[in-house]
Amino acid sequence: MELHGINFLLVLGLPLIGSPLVALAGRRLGRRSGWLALAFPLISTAALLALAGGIGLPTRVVIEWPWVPSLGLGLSFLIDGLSIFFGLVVSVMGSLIVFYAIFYLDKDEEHQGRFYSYLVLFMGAMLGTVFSNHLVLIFIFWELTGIASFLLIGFWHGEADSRVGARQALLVTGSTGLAMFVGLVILHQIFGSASVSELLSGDLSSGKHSVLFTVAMLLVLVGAFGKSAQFPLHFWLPNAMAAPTPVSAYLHSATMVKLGVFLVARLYPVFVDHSWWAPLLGLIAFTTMALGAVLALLSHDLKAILAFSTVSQLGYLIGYYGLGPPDGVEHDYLHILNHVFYKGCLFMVVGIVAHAAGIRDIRQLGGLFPRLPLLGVTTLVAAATMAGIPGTTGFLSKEMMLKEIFEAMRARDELGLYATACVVLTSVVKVAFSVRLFANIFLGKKPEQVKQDFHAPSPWMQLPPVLLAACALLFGLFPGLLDAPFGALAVEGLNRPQHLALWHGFTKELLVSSLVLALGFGLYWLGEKTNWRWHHIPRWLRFDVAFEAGIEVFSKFTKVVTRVLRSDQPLDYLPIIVTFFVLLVGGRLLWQGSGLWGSLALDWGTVQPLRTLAAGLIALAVVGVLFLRRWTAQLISLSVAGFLTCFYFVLYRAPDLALTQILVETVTLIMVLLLLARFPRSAQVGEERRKPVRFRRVFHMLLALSVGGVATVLTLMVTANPHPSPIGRGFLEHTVELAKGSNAVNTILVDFRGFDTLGEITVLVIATLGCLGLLMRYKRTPEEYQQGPHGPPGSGAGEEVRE
Amino acid sequence: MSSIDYLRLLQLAAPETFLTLTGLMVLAVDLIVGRGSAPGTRIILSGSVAATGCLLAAGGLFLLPVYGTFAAGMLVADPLTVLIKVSLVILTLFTVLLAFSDAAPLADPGEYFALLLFACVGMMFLTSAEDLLMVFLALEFTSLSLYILAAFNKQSPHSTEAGIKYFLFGSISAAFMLFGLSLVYGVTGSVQLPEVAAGLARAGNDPLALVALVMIAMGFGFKVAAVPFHLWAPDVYQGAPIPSAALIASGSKVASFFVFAKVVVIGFGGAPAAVGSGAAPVWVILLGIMAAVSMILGNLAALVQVSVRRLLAFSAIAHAGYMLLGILAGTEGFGPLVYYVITYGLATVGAFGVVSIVQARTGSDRLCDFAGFHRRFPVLAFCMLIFMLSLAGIPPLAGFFGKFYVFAAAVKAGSLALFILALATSTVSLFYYLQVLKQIYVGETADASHWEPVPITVSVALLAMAFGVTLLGCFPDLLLNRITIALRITGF
Repeated sequence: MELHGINFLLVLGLPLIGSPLVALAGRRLGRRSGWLALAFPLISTAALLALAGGIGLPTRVVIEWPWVPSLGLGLSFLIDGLSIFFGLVVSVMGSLIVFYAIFYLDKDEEHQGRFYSYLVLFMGAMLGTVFSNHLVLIFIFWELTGIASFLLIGFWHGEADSRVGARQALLVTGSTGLAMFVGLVILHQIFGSASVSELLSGDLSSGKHSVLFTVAMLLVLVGAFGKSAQFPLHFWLPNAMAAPTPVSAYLHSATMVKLGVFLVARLYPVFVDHSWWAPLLGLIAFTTMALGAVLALLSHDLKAILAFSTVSQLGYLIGYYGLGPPDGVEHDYLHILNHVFYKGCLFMVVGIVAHAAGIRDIRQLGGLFPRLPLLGVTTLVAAATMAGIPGTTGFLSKEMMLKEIFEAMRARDELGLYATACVVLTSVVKVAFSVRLFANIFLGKKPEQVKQDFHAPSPWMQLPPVLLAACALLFGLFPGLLDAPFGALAVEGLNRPQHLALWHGFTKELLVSSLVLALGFGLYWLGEKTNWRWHHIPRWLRFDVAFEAGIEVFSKFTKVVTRVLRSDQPLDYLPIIVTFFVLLVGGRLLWQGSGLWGSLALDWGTVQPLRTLAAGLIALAVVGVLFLRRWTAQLISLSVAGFLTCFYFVLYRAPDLALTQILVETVTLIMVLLLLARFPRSAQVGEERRKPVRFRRVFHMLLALSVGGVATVLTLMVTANPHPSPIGRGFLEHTVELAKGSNAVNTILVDFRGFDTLGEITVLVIATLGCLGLLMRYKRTPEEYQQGPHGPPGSGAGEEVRE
Repeated sequence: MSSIDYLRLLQLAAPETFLTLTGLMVLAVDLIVGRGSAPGTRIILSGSVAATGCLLAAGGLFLLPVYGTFAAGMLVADPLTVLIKVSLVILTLFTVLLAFSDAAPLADPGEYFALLLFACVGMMFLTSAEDLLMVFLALEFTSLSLYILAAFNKQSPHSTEAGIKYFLFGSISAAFMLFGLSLVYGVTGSVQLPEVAAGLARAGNDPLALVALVMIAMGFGFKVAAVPFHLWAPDVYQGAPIPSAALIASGSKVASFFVFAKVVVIGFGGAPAAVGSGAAPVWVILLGIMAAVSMILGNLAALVQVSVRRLLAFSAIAHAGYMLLGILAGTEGFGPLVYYVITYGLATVGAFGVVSIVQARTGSDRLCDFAGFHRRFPVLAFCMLIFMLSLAGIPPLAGFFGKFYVFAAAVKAGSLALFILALATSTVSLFYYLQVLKQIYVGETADASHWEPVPITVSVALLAMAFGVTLLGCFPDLLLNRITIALRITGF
């Protein structure tokens, strides 16, 4: 365990720590920082191999370090066949790509340290995702790969294409990643464990029939579809091709886009029984497969062709898991590895060609074979692998694909038929664009522009693609070599490794395969014949355009929302708060409805004429406030209401209360009058000028009335149910005995609730101190008074930006 | 009624008393020593007294905590409140350090620092109150200090406007809250939270209790700037002197949310739910609506802001929505909420600190004024990176764990829809935080003028906060463990 732990730290920890180091060293090293970066994938590969040897496959080992025990979150990693397989793909491809990038990037390219730093970071994030044993960790690393890929795609951020591509990739993969996170959290909720190994090995039958389980599966699949560019989210991948070619080769063919496939494989044993699994995956994935292939044929940018063919292959891989039987699939590793070989190789070739000839449009290329013979042969092998010519891994993969799809057709009626149709169609189209890729770059006659701009690439740069093509050829010729590693990497519940052989005899598959080849060549011939005139992507298939338009609309929408809901003026604030109050409280009271009115029945007998008169006068005074124009008149009318309230108290035989009220009323009246006198005339004029429009006035009136109504009902409710033992009685009884005073109001203030009074006084003192601070030191000069207020009352600082 | 043990009171309220005395001392020092000196000297003089006071208070609270309850919940000092108080004092300390900056020329530094301390004392009392009257008093104490702090820059009409708006709507909401509290008293016959809970359980489905809850929620909703009571926030965040805005955004939020949660969870949460009356769903629905609207509106409105302070204001509104999720999760959500508000406060004060630096040197806080900040102050730009990413909830920073923890609690409590909404809006929020970073790191500016160096206290404070945010992100257990233990001791 100790040894495994150290090994694993080398695999995962080193790249994560190393990434910032590369960035820092990059300033010093410049172009040479690539060699430093190369160390990380190499070490990871070696450590991974040692780890794989050490744990004794096939087995499952969990390495765990505590991180946040109180959340049950540990740095827990699952080492098994699947994670080691993907880990090796990531690290070996990483080594090749970094090596390739060292020769690919121009000498005068700036920020090389940053580029390699992102690349190493990405590799670390990828390794983290595939090895994570905790659902939350999976999410963290998953999003980290998204961020790293965002940085890499947008590396040439001076170009608009790069920025758009990077943004699309981040938005699609990032948001679908969030959906996946929700799904993972639900899974955690259902099964009570966030550990992948427990999910895989535990008995989960209990939770599997709930609706939530279906929701969780759907959300997790959304995440996988987003990352693996499945229909209808496939559009980000071709646009991400604005990235430097090493990035495309690494992220968008070999590794990152396979994360969706990985996730589907990882959770295969959990979800495979679900009745929606096969139809959902099958429909979406095989649609993607066919659509991607057709779009690849319709494209003319070299990288776009490869990107769409990647989309197509990803569709197949996911669909493959979708149609798999419950006890596991047979050849998933073969299909993935095959794709890594030829697609990684082709991307690098395309990069070299674009580098050498300066053109990426396949219609303007040709006749490069004499100049680049080694690369030509490599491409031939890789294209043959893509097309599935015997002698390559592509052939094996296609044979197995056809065999399995025929089985599926028998097992799954319509779905199987649809899948078979998609697979056959895709295979034909794939042959066509494979041929085109090779023939139109290397054969034919050389256009003028290519002649002029051509400069020979470094031979070292051609090494990584040659290696990949060689692998495709080697394992294609001797498939037996793959039996042992695939056997060792098999994971229970997911894989049932089978023996691989080149020759299966004259089978139905071979027949179909040959037919497909012939049809594919025919399609290519047709294309050449018609000069590829029909050859552009129709507008209704441009999902990226729709997506960008959607983003534009969203941005407009937020602006509108903000403008509508912006309120910098108190006149707008209050109605919002008051409406909320009226709706909630009033609505609640109405809801209670029937029972309420009964309890509020008035006892008309208690109505006294004098009190009624006082109350009526108060109401009259308040109405006066509304209709009087001048501030002083309004104020006096308001205080008339106050004084009448005193009278009301007197009627209740509460002279001390009335006295207090009179005092308060008088003091505030004088104070406010004094203040108003100091206000400039323009303030009042300003307010009068800004009378709200009629609709508003009616609305405000209704609001005010309903607040009054709610308050009335509340008051009635409170008085209708008096408290059985009001606290006041206790105070009254004990005021002499405990507080030695006969005025209960005083004893409450200074004795019973003395602490509160103290606090209240402190609060007032603080407020006074602060007001003094605000008022005393800064006096406006007469000139400033002349200028009037800084704006009409309630003018918002709002939107306008202060200078 | 038993007699009051004043010695005990002094013991329990020792940190508050100490800070109050420090505040008075700041006033005295500024008056006696600082009279006639240059404004810069006066700032340093009174600021250092205030900072030392905060430091000592935090140290005292941390090292020699006194636990106990005074007068049936009027003043409660338990591990949890002490923890909150420590973080409040630390946040105030950082605010004080930020005020050293020359962002807003302080006319009266003595009074300013004293008010900062008083506001902190108010928040501390608020934290320890389990008595509705004390809650209201402390809330008013805090608010009054903050109103003045917001309006403190007398020469600036914007600051005055901020103060007036804050004050006006603060008073309205305080009135609502007081009405609500008195209704609670009317229904239950008590102002002590546990008894209120029991009383509410007895009262069953009393409509008055619900009305009271709505009113209290309105009062607190205003304090924490949740939609639809958020309207003051953008103006205040933009107009108030920066340290004031920072304290309003951080400390005030920590204390208010803590008490809000306490009132809802202890007072309203347990009891009605236990007897299965209609009250529990009502507050869940009420807070759920507030949370959802806050998250949506806050994040959407923040997208189009040009002023960074307004942007922070709308992001604060959005964060209030996330924090409401913590309250919704009931007792489960208490720990997460505490962790969230503390880490949020740290990052927010830090962000305001960086804004103050820029504003002092360009005279405004527009996004484009941040262009080229990275080249002028690389270290501080990195601090801003940390604050922004933490606010956006990017691992491994503290903000991520706050969100994760709160969201997990929300899911456990069954609010799956809100959780999804929160996740989606968090993604949106990433966009505007990145806008700020984009300006700082890649924004082009023609302005090559020399910027004055940043005062050392401000740099130290920013670095300390950035370090804190990173540390709490990488090792969340440093704080989580304390919260968990404190919660267990307090009996949540």
